[in-house]
Amino acid sequence: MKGKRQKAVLHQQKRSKKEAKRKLKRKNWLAKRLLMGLPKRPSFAAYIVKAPQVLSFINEPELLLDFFENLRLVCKPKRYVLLDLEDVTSISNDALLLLLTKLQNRNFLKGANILGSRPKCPKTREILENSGFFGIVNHKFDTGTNPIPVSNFMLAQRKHSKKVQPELAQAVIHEATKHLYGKVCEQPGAFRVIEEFMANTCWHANPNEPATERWWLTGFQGPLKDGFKTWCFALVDNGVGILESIELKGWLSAMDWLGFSKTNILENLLNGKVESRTGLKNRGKGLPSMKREFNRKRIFNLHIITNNVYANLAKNVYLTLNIPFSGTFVYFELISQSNGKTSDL
Amino acid sequence: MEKQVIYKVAKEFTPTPGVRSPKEGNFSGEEFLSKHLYPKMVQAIEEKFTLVIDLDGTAGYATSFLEAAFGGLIRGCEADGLKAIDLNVAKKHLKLISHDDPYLEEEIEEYMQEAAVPA
Repeated sequence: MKGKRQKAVLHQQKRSKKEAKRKLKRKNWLAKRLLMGLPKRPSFAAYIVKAPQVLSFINEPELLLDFFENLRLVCKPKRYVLLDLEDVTSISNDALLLLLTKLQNRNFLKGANILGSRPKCPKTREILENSGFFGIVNHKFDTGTNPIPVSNFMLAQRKHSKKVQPELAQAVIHEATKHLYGKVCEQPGAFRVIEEFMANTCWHANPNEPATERWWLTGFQGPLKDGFKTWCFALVDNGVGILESIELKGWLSAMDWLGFSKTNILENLLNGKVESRTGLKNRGKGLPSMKREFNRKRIFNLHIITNNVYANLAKNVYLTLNIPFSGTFVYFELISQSNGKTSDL
Repeated sequence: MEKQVIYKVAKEFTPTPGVRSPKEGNFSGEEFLSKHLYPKMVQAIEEKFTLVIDLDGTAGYATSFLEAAFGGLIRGCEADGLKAIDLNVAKKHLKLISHDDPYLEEEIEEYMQEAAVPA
């Protein structure tokens, strides 16, 4: 009896492997066919979504959001969708992080099979290949515990979780200070911003239930600025966004109801002028503390994108986006010139 | 001069403090309050010594951690059986050390003051 069951299990495993192989073969065949411009078989409902030349969430948020919106619209169960990346000439790490989070979001993909073409530009192609992107789009992947292989690309690391992970925040900062100062040291400003973001995702990404959404974090080497080394951090969650998770009261609520831009709301939130939705006076200090760290010059070039608002605090620019971003994105830099360090280890 | 007892957060609690509640992650401010700060503070008041909290040597502190711990000390927490401590009494028996981060003492003072004002 036991032998029979074992045999059945083995048989099932063999079949699953065969099935996975067959699906992979079919995906690769379709990707090649679509790229060669050959007509697809009528039985395949494949769609092509063309990516913009420049993929950067900080510099071109609307181009990237438009690309995601086009992708979202064609995603249907079992449908094959090809991301045409051939003409992409540059891709920033923040955009790549966002793209990878979208491609592993089951709600976003709705069961569609995503394929991706390789960019013609060798540098961009190399970035995508090293990031593990093609391992995700052109292969059957598991969206379970560790969807993205933790690999280095351009000295970057990507991590994700649903809870606040202080040790991880410290580890990514140590990685940054090794590059910036040649030694491990603490950066209390950056540590605070990262923790506040993680906590924000924990409570605000889905206000009804804590720790249901995942945050993603990446740190990477930035370009030299006036001869000084930089290290960039990008954090993202695909929750409901900050502005959708707060309860507005008073004149802010009236402005929102009248359809005024939400840029004011984010500005007020960062200035600590919006009460927490809990109604408790001791809450709602996370976002203002991010701005405070920026004002203290312990972090630099702070950008926040949430819902339909884009905020560049370095330039004090708050813009309304035509295409909303459901989620929250925070970007900031550490610069070697400023030593916001506390203690050397 | 009153006797001083030094408590080093990085050594006796964690070098990587978390945020407000244990639901959000490890090493939370509420955990620090209920297991470390509050019992030691009560002892300091009863035995008439100064509790010196050394905040140095950690990766940093989230605002929610500081608020939950030091604001919570003044506010108290009925659910955890922690009675509110008078702000002046707490200040008399509490001393903070923060050479690494010059802003911490000021922030903690702010959270304690806010917690002393009834909602």
